[in-house]
Amino acid sequence: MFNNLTDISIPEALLITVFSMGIVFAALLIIDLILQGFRSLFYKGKRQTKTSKTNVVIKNDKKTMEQDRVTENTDSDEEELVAVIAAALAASLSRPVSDIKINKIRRVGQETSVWSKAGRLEQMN
Amino acid sequence: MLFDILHKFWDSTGFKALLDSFFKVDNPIEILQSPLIMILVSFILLYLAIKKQFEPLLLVPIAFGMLLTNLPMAGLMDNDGLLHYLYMGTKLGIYPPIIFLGVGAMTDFGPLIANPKSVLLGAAAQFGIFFTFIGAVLISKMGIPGIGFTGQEAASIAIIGGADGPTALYLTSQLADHLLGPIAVAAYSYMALVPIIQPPIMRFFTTEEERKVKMEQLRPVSKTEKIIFPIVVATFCILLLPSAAPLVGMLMFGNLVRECGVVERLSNTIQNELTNIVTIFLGITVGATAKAEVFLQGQTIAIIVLGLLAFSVGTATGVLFGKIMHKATGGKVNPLIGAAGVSAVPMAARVVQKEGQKANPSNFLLMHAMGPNVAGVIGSAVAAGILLLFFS
Repeated sequence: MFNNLTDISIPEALLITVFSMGIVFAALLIIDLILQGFRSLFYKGKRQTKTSKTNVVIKNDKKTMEQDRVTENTDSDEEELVAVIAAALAASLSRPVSDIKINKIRRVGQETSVWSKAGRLEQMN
Repeated sequence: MLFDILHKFWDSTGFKALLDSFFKVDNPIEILQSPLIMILVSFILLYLAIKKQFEPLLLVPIAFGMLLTNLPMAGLMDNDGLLHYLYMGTKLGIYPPIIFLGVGAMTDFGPLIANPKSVLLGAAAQFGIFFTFIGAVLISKMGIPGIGFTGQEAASIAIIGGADGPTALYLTSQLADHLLGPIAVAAYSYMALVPIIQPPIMRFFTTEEERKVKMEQLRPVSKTEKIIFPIVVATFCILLLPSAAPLVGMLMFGNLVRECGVVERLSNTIQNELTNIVTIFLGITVGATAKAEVFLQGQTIAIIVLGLLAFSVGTATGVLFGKIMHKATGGKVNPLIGAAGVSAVPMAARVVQKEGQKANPSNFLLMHAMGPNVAGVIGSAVAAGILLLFFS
């Protein structure tokens, strides 16, 4: 592309820099646009399907059935969460789950003070 | 008779050649190019890799390759030497793209897909590459004896700023393979030193308030998006820059194998055995290019200095672009995440997490920083493609 690759002048180096950074930005900007397209194609789409499902439920008047299903899902989610916490405890204590007795799992609010969070983080690290 | 045999045996040993290189020199300056010095350098690098754990996966093979190649009379890098044959994989540009295949198979592009704007931070941090390129050309024009770089050499040095080992080695193997040793040592040393180099620059360019900014949680990314991403990016980037095909193609293929979920065996092989085997060959042969007469030159010092400049400028421009995004989004973006745009996955993202937490202990920037971090990998591969376009 250049006549003498062994001896690049300063203006040539500047030209290469401006051109190359332009291409890098253009390429990544197009990837950005493609990814934004992903968002509108896949993400919003998901939310719309959820809403339309609820609509169908209301239209067909199967509210109770749907509510039951939701409760079941939440229950199984909670059970899953308990299983995950128990497994994590067992792994961290290097003891089998059967040896650990969990009396109570209490959800800690998001609004805890910064000091408590820092203390917890220190414990974890 | 016995004396003759002993004398011939002594002449054939590396000990004699090593001592001669130190004591039987016409000019005292030649001592500075003795293999003995390189052997000591390899010991220091081994110490740093093993004791201090500076990028040990690569620095151990590199340092040992350096040791082997500088042991006189062994001839491992001669035309019929073992390492010379293995080196063909580096010289022909085979190993670095295979490592990129492994990087792709180990990388989760989810944070980038969830926050597409962070891709621009990965672009901004590439400025370090081109700033250093200008710096290398400028140094050459100064007329300092023993220090001067051709266009290809300047491009190979500049790519250290990409903070991406395989990219740096691939570009150097294609443009200036005699500089593989110093460039590999500089690139991997600085990558290991990211936690020391980046924080002061990050703090210098940001205010306490900016560092405290908490970012919104990222949206969940579907499996479909993760599968389509590597296919679309590979097709687009390679059509735009065919010279970047070996790097971008392998990176995205590795990622597709990881995400598609139907070739678990291939994914495991790429992430583990294949990457490990190629890392061994790449490391030891790159180290073996660092022969005393090539490595112990004024140019190596210039490369080390320029490499540091590349890393620092890349970090600074990433943070400054982060500040622009901070302003543009009304304070929703923490500018620190821009520093992760230099690649060095995942070390740079971890540094951002640490710095963010220092300013605000309830701050979790890791996943937000992973976006620019992986975007930086794509950005440096694109930059390498452009440099190849100009100089090959």
